[in-house]
Amino acid sequence: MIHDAARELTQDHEVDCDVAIVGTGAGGGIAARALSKAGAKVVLLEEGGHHTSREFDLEEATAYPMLYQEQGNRATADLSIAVLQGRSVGGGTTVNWTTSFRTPAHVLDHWRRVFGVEGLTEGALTPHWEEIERYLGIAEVPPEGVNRNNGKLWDGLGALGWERQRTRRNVRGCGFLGYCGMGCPIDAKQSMLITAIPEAVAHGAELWAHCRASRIEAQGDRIVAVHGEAIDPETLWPNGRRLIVRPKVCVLSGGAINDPALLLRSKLGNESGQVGRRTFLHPVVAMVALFDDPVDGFYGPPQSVSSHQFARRGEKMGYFFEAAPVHPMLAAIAIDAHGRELRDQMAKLAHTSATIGLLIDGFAPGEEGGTVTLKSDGMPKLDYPFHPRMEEAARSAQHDMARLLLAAGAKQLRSLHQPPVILSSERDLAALDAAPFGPNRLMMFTAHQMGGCAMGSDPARAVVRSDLRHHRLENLFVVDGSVFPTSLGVNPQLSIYGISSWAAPHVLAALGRA
Amino acid sequence: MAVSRRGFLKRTLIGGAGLTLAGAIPLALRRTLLRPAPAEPLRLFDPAEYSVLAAVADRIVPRTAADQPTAAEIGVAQKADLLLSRADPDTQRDFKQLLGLFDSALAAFLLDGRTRPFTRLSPEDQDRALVDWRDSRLALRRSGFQALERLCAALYYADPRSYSTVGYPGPPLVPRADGTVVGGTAASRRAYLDSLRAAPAGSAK
Repeated sequence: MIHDAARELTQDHEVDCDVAIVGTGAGGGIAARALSKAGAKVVLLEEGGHHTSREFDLEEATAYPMLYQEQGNRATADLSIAVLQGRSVGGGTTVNWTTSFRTPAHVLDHWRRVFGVEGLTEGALTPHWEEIERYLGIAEVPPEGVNRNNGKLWDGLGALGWERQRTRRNVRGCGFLGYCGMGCPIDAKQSMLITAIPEAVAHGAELWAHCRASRIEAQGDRIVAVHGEAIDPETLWPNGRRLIVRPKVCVLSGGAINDPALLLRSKLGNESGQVGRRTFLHPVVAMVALFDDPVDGFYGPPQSVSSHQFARRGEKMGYFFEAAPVHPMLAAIAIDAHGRELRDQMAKLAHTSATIGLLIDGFAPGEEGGTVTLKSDGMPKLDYPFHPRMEEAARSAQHDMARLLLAAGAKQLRSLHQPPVILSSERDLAALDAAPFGPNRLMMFTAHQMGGCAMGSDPARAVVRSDLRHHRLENLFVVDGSVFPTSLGVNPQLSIYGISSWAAPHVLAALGRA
Repeated sequence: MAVSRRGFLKRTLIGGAGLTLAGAIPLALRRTLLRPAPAEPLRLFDPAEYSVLAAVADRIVPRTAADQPTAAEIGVAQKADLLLSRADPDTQRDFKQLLGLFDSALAAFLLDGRTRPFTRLSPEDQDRALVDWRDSRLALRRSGFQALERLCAALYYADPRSYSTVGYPGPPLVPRADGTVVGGTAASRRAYLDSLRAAPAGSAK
């Protein structure tokens, strides 16, 4: 049963259950499915609304306020990095660009060696990945699904002899429309919204949309209640009605940024001092290219090509390349100009290609990433300091993107510096090295939020154990990307599905003990 | 919370402590050039804050050709009022403070030697003021500029009335399995649905 807390709660309401799950994205969706199928009574809380394909009208003006955190305006505290993060039933999976990678083996190995993560091996995860891949139709995009925007990336990579691959996507009957980021209008994307959540509900799960978990409550070493507040969809503020869930086991799946904020608001579970620490973002630098021929980057699957040529650079920070869709609002934000310059650049939208370099943060000793704390109103505040390793990687990635786009035939390139660096040949590349780097000097994005509730064997350095159970609170689990001790070097959704599927038996075991 | 954004403001502006003072002066005392009230009542902004944002939007997305809708026609400032009315309390407070600071003659004088509020500058001087904020050595001003620039640009170009100015044909017409249709234009949706009705039932193979 799916409820709307804003509409249905006319008075405060209490519900008992086996498992309360906060959040309905990649982590919460897969966990809810596995636990419901095993017979557990599951209650899910989702602060966003239950929006379905009938409401997805392919307009950015509709989608971002409806389906993203802070109406699409979430950012780091100094606004230097724009944070794209989902917020509706299905979470990030409702709006992601469908790219599906398994967790790289060397990343799992790094977690084992450096953070003492136990049992989370490629061998242990493979059956979970295989099952999820079948379930969500994850398969390589066919050549005709590569739009011209991704095609430019493909061509440039090929011309330079750099590693390139067509990505795998979680779609069935994809129409190659290009609007994954605004909610799939034809339910081709196999998001949690149309797969695991309905399946969990069919097995008796109860979902409360427009219900934000304001705090969790413990007695001794056990969580005894999750306190939810109904969110008015018109004002996006709490309307005063409350839902109190009394679970035997509590699962946090609100994603990096929101999970740590909930723990901090609750003043719970931060014995390690690590809650909110080591938040990683795959910070994105982009390069915008103009081509003589139309690119029409607003149409066709937003991501279908990826290169990990520079993912592992020894002591230096690695990065990988993908494409980003070129819709007007997103482009206007990325172009980061104003006045005539913005007008002129936007007028060439149909000839514009966008390539992104995603920096792989969190692998060097002492590289701590961002920190989530609370603002005075209790909402999360994310600080992400820039540092020299990041600068080196950002410059190198921009350099490489410029080279590959020129090799693909771009006539003019534009960096996202304030003011931009304009290049038209390899001779101009040095200008990128001289451009300023720092907060609000260079437009950056993140669509991959990770960390903040790290897993690991050492209670002094990790929030949860390797089985995703909290080190002290015995019936509290964190099941989503916030447990990753570093970033991944690949788009995170399949890693989150995999770890959630892997963790479900551990949650069931805790339920058996309750 | 120990470190509020106000604390951030103060720390960032050491060496320009007058700015915080300037930001705290009620807008009414800043002689903001007021615009006519918008069609819908304002939810969050007061008339002065609305007028500052409308003036900024006019320069972020100026009309450079006759066939372009203006930021005022798109209603950028009014859309921003609705959007920010749904933001969390700290964000609302910070944004209102930013608008105050942006139009403060005192702040402009301390920072850039200008004696008039932004809303009373010529368009050319407004453009110079924007660049002063963009390229400032003070991180707070750069981030304030980014907030204003991104918001105005995003709200303008998310509006379908801007699509023709960028060569975006708009979303494709997408028939759904349930017989409804999405995307395209109102006319193309109607034409599609009419064609479905015109087709004899059961004729689809």
